[in-house]
Amino acid sequence: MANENLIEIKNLVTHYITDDGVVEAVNGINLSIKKGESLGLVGETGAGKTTTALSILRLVPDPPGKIISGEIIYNGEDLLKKPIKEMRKIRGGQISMIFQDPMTALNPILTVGEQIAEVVRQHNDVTRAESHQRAVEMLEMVGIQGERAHEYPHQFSGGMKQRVVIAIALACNPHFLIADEPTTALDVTIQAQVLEMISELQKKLGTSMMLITHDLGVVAETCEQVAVMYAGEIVEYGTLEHIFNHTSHPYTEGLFGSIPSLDKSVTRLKPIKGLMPDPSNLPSGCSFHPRCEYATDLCAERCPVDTEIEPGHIVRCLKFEDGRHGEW
Amino acid sequence: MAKTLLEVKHLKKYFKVSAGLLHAVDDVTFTIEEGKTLGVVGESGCGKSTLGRVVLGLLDATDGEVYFDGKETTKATKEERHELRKDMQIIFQDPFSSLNPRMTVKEIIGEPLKIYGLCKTKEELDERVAKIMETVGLADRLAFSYPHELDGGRRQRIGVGRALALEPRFIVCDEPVSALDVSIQAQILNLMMDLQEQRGLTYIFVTHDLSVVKHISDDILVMYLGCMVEKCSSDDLFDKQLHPYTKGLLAAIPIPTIGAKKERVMLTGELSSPIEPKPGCRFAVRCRYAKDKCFTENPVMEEVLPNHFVSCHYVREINGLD
Amino acid sequence: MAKDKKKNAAAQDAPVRTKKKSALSEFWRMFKKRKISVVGLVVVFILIFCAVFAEFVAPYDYAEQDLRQRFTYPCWEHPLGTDNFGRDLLSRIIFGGRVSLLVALVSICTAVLVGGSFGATAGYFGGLYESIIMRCMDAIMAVPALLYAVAISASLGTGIVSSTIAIAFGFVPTFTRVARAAVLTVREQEYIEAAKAIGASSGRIIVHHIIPNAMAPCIVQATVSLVNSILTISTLSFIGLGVQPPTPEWGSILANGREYIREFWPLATFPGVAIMICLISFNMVGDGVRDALDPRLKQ
Repeated sequence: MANENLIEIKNLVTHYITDDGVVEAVNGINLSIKKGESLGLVGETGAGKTTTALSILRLVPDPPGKIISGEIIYNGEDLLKKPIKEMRKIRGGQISMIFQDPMTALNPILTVGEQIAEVVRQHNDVTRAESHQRAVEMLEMVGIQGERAHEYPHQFSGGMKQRVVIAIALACNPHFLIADEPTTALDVTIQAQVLEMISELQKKLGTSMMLITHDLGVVAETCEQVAVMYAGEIVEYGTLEHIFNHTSHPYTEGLFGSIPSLDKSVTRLKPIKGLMPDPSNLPSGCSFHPRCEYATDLCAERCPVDTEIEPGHIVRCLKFEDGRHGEW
Repeated sequence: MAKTLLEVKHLKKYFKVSAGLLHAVDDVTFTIEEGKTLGVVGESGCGKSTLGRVVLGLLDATDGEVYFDGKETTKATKEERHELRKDMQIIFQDPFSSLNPRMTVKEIIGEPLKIYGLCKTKEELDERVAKIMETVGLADRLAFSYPHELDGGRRQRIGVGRALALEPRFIVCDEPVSALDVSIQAQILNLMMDLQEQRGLTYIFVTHDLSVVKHISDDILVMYLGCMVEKCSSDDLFDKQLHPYTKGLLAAIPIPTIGAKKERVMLTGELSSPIEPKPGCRFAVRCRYAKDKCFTENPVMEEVLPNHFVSCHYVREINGLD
Repeated sequence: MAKDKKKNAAAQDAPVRTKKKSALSEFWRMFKKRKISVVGLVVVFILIFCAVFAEFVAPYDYAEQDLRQRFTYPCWEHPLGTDNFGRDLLSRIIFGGRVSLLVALVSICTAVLVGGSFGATAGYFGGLYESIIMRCMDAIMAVPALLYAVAISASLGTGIVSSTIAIAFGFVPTFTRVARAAVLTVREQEYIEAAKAIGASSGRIIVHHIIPNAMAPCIVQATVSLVNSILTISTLSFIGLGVQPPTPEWGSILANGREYIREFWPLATFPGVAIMICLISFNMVGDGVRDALDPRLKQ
């Protein structure tokens, strides 16, 4: 079973050490993604989603960022122990990333074809002509006419630019793709097009994917596994079915209560009270307890541990520990 | 029957840009009854924010009329406009750039009161600001904080407080929750709905988020490249939308339920430019039902079903209506 | 647990205040984060103190000659030695600092006021007015500042006043540009529109919303320009167009020392060192001011 996992994150802790204190961005997360599977990483601003992604690629800006502990096993090897030179080969080659803002992710003075070709040349031993051939193929794959390879980024619209970014990310046939809010900057109709394309390509190429988003709707339509992050921890983790139909963690419940629904008429939303905690000064015990409606005295004292409440459905909440199944 | 508070007739706003005239708002007509919410939906660049600003008089209309409480505001003098501002307010999208970073919470909320000289003494001002802060759910102790010390949700509460200070009857909400996280977004939405209930406020709620607009609005106006596309009650829009663009827009929203993936009519292509648009339906290039007529003749808004307005030449054929 | 909750609530919330925090205290909080700038500030204070109280700090008068003690190397009586007329070098450098700093401060303040008003009005009103102002500034900038100094000194006569005017004139375009750019950025901010929406008049918008937010870049530019201005006055004196003897100025002492550079090193070295210390410390302060006022570095 274990060797089926393409990537396995064990107890990852990443902190930013600043003059004003330690920002605990990621606090001991465990994740695994199988070959060809897609995982949705959901959470609000400041939950540590992007830091998790950057930790996998070891791109956390250092200083102030530091990966304190943990293992990231990729194809049986720990990425955190690899020399930088090998990491560089892996980045963009076997593992690649799509960033949130397509407007700034492209170099404005190079043609889009050249930008794709450059990545291809960096990771493969090919000639200039071959790399350009590949660039044209990639553009066609993401639904842009091949002739447009000679155009510059400013000649493309936002949605088209994001397609180019995706083409760059997929140019070297990566095994693992990290997409950090790939559609947040786009309009809904364009978002739908881009998401559908990402899903299709991911299935066609058999790439594993980690999709970072704050939109539960996007997750429902593109992912098989879901991990909900809060204050640097994964509070609930399971299949789409587990998270959406057997919602267990109070925070996940709160998230669903906060979204206005399109099919049901609700007069009042049930938001989560309070604010995101400051990651440089997290609450004691369970970091969600000050906002949790089920919190008891115990929650402020003890840190919950991962509890598997049904096969593959893991919840980090005291309510479920010691076989309590959500009852106190 | 509630009385009509705001009436907008054939409103147009063009901007001069180097490439020609940008038709930001092109012939928009609607009315809002007192105490109701009109949601204005559309993608970026469809002119929905411009519409809100023209209605408020923050931008001058190129053509058309706006009547507020029976008075024509588009022809108002400077003094009359100044008075109108007390009744018509705006809440901005970005809680980061819409607050002066060098003013404290108290100064920001108190500024409109100072401008209109509504408080005679300093104590009265303090008291009124404290009351507004309480209304929008800002703790007392934040009075002397600066916006950059607060999170997005509380900044947006300051923006709501500033708009409420003059006790307006009508507020344009320009994407007030799109910059916020979902859990905070729900708090602000609840606040705005409570305020409407308590004070009988009338809202124009501009947003690109259809689930939010459904939640808060009574009527919805869908815009595409400056033009009105469909206008009907909120329930009708989601149950029996008639315009092909609205259908595509609704199909594109990701639904947070498994298996909700319906038969998708994916919209192809992207928005065209609103600069010097050619005659014809502006949606025609992306529309799968488009025929020759759509590329030559402007469609007009017509009442296809009771209180359900659509601007499409072939709306009856597409929807199998008589 | 209640205690715990309280602590957490306080941590994630904004600081509690009962009155408005002054901009100055906020500035100081940011400024003192950069230790090197604080060191620079201390040196600057020492320099200013010496310049203001030169009569009391300096061991001798700057013009007191003692021809028997010409070219004395540093010793107890004359810590930095004496010059070709037997005048105490330390005293001359202390008095020289007075002139340098005075000219620099006055010229920069003038340039900030003149340039700042031109720039702010150009940025706010725009149109033809802006074009005329900005083209004039371009024309002024096209000629090196030193050349104006030469020309003004030549027409008004050499001396402290004409040097100050010359330097101020040369810096006006810089401040016009900075102020205009700052106002242009602020004018586009949504809070300006918000102010219009609550019925604020143009006057109120300029005074309450634009000026406080456009000030930071001008202050930063002023601190940085001070250094250039000190350098310019020294240069002018060095080439004989600035302060006239016997009034000491770092540049003129340096020029004097140049003649004896082979025979007597202290005369050309110490004024140079004084200029250097002054420039470095002002630069360090300037960097600190920039970091403290730059909103991009704030949380």
